[in-house]
Amino acid sequence: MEKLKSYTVAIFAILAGWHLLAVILNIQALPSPIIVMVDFTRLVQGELSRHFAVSLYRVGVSILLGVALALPAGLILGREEWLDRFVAPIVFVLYPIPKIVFLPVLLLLLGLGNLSKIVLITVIVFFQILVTTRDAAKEIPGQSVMSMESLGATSWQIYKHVVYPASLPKMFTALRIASGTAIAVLFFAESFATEEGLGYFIMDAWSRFNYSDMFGGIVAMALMGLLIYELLDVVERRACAWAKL
Amino acid sequence: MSHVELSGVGVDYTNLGRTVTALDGVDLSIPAGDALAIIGPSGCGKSTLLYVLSGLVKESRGTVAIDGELLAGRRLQTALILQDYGLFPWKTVYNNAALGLRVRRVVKMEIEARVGKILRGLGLWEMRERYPAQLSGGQRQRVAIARSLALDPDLLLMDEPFSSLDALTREDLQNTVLEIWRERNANGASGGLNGDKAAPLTIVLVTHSIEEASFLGRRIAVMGDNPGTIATLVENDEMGDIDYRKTPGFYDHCSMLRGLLKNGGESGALQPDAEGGVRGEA
Repeated sequence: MEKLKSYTVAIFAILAGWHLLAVILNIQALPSPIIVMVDFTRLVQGELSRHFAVSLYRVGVSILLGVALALPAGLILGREEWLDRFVAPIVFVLYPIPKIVFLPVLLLLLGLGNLSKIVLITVIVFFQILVTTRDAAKEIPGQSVMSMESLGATSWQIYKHVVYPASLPKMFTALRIASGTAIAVLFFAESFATEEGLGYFIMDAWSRFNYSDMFGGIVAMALMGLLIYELLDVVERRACAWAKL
Repeated sequence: MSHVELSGVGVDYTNLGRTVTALDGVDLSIPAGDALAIIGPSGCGKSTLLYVLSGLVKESRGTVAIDGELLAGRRLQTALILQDYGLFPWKTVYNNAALGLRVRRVVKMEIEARVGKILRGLGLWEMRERYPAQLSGGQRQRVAIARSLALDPDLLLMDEPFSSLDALTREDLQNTVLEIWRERNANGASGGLNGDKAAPLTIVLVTHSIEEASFLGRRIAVMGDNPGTIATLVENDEMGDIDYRKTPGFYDHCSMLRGLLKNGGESGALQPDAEGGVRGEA
């Protein structure tokens, strides 16, 4: 409830600032939020919902895939030094490369549909989660592992009871940051050679000089970001209740 | 049963290409049911000695035998309590206490019965759903004790278990350990916290507190300045009662230990005292 209140206040503040700016600038490209909101209620009943669903699907699947691949890989790299010595240099060479430059290759190889976009965003999420969980797993105190060993734990049990839960809070922090990047990249990927998704919707409205539609698309994108952020929050609260104590 | 026999035990670490000797020529015999306190200055290798007993650190020289068998890695009936990091903040009191049994794949019903009994015995049952962050330092070490007892050990190793606690809480927990040790070693007694087994419990405690060593150690190994050797082994037959702490004998014993520690563990300068008995190791 407290959260809803603060979100309401925040949204009103943003809308007020936006409105003020629109009045001052008085240009077509920046319509007042009042016009956009009226348009938005109409758009939601029509095609915008479909584009929203397509984009959410792409980002959602990418985040799930990215985590599913990067979390175990990062934990293993963080704990198994012999493997890390070989793999870490590869990761650090690839990490700073803006993965978006691979979009043309991916479009050629995987087609114009969902797959190329999902693979691109998955790769971006993958690297951010991989680097963070690897470092988190490395930082686990030796005594924690020792105390597990003294109980007679196998290495799989040490992963399950210590390495994984200890690294989870940092993984979620990385995931929040990665989800922002994921949406930004999604927009870019959807503005090329496609007819579905919020990126397409925004770029299409822009090319038609329909600025209230364009801003309707931007509002939808902001809402999608907020939805993902809040979903992550709910999952984190359940998975790492102990970290909030 | 656990009769621990160390002979000529030495441990070398390699640190940044240099070999450091942490332990050297340790001969020690710990009979079943003994309570041995190991005391000495920081860096004297007392923790290393404990880790060797736990099987977590492999000796570089000499032999370690428990119950006549050479120690090869971990041993299921040995439990280890560390000063910190022993409890996991992401597990509730119950799950922390049950962890050792889960790791050993004990049946769920038996875990519930054993852990429930031990948590009740240590006054932790009401807190079973809490996380370590919601407990006081003393309660946390109680959980660590609960986890070790759940394993039904015959050898309990403790590495400065209470050094981060305030004085009264520390004494309270020392009393708890003493009671557990006495219950397990009383003749013909059935069990104590842990059920019906009356197997003797051997305790080896590493501490830098003179009072703790005097209170919990039926024998006290004093480690010296000369890194990694046991300088003196002191008998402490008077211990075993909660009120021992308040007796003049306790103070005498403490000051005798203090003298030994100041002398770098060498008993040469001291007259063997009639009751405590100071015995220098050759």
